[in-house]
Amino acid sequence: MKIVTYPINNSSNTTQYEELRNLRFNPSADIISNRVSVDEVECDIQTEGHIETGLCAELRDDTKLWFYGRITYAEHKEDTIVHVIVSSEITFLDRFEMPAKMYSGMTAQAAIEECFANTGAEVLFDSSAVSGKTVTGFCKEQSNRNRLQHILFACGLYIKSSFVQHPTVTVMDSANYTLIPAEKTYWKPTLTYKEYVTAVNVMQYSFAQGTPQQGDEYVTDGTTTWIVTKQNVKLSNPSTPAIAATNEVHVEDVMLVNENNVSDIISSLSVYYFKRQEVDLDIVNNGEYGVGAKYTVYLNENDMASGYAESLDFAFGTNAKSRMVIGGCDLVLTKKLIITYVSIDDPTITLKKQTYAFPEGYAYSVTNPYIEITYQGYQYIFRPTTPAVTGTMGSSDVNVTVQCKIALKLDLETRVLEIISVDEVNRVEKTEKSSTIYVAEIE
Amino acid sequence: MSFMIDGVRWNYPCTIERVAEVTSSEISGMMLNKTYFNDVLGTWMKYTVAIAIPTGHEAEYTEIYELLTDPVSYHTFELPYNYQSGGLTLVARVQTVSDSYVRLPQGRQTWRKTRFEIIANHPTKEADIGDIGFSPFPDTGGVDIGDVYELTINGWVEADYGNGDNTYY
Repeated sequence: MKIVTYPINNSSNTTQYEELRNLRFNPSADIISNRVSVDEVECDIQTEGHIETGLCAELRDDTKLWFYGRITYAEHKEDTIVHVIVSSEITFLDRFEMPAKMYSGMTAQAAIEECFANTGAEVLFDSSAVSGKTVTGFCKEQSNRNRLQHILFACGLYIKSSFVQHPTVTVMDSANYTLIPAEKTYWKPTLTYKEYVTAVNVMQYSFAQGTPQQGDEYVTDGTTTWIVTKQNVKLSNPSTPAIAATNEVHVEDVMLVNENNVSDIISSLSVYYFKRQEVDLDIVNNGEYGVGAKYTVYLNENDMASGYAESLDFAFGTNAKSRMVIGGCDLVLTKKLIITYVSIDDPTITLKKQTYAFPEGYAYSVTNPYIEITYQGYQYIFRPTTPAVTGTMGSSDVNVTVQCKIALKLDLETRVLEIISVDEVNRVEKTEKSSTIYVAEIE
Repeated sequence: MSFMIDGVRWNYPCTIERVAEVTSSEISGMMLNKTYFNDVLGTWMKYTVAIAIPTGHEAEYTEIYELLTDPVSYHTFELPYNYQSGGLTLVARVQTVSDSYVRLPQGRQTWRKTRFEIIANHPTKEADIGDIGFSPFPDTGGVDIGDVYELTINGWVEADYGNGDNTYY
């Protein structure tokens, strides 16, 4: 892992820092845009050089970009140690104010780009996320960051700043999820139940041009005045038991909520707030799992939960580990896939048995392993005759038998290795792999 | 036997012991499938050198003692490593230096049992993501059924040239 810095106007003039200590990186994303966070990377850099604030900085490894931002803090602590904080470009949006504005169907993309204009920050969009979305309603004078938050909330969008070149606007995807396998999940995730949210309330606004005398509440952009009419829209939690105490969520000050978008907004809020479960888990995460996306995770070898990654807190070694908090969780029904590996020469001999739990409807693909057996003075490597077991998990357990052939045979006394069979389809890769496993066993 | 410190060779009788520590990071731990995830950082070498500097070489003894006990971050050592690659050049820090002041017959007093311990600053072998530690199979242009290999000091060597008749040539 390294930090690469360069001036804003000369991205080729880079300086790399690989001697990092106390590296802290904990990105987050609020999928319902209650807030817009400023992600940061913080660390001590060992260097004899000078590091200035304002430089662009990337946290990256050899294969991917983890985070891009600007150095907002650099303290030269000792002779060769500089403590730096790299903040996402969202931080610049706090430094500027936007005037009051009445939006009349401006596209979401244009409205968001206005928030970033002339701030020194850039924004990217997942194109499908903002397609067809518009902004209608009023915003008072506020910081660019608050304006952005209102627009994202009203349009059902959120923004993330990790594993992207610039802050990127995207949308909650409730239909698709990624399964995090058990072998990447540390022992043992924790499941907590939050208090019931008994209802979600969102204030819906409409505006009519007029004078302050014509209504109890009005807004103005300094030139024109609008009379405000508002109405609370409430959705009660159908799962709330009778004994649960009243605990309602209220959203009242976002005047971009109107009759056209209120039902989508209520729906998004209910997807998140009406789910009581929250999962905390540690996973091996070399950047393949990010914030905001939907994940299905194992709670133990048999039970699973599915929800949205709200935050990651990384620790680094050769690999990286992150503590992931998943909110808006559902518990997931699982069924078992049981794979029995047998010898093709004698199917009554079971070489190995593996059991996996998957959610119903999950399209699984399990790579069949090479299997090592030591028997009567010989060490055998069995290779599977099919590369993988694939399918879609249904409503009941699945049993599969995979036949295996002897690939290699090692005489443990003479140390002579014999090739017995070869995978003709992937012959070089497969036999080399099985042979290197064999070499390691011997050495 | 001899060794070098900061480019200077010390040619005195000595016993050299080494310990290789395969160090894992703090993110290693037990996975949910009851497999231990070992996040290896690399292999660090530790050496212990016991020197026997003979009488009459008190000036050299003082020099090496003062060198080893200097409060510096590291020295550069050259020490024996393995048979094939020879010596290992190591940037290492001195952890301890010890000796004993003894009275010999005829009333002479001298420093004896001199030992120093060092540990490398950088790993001699560094782990990569996905490194499963297996040495590569020699490139034979593809293997065939009936091929036979023998493990030699040079690695795996094809012993039967593919005709399956178990002859070796």
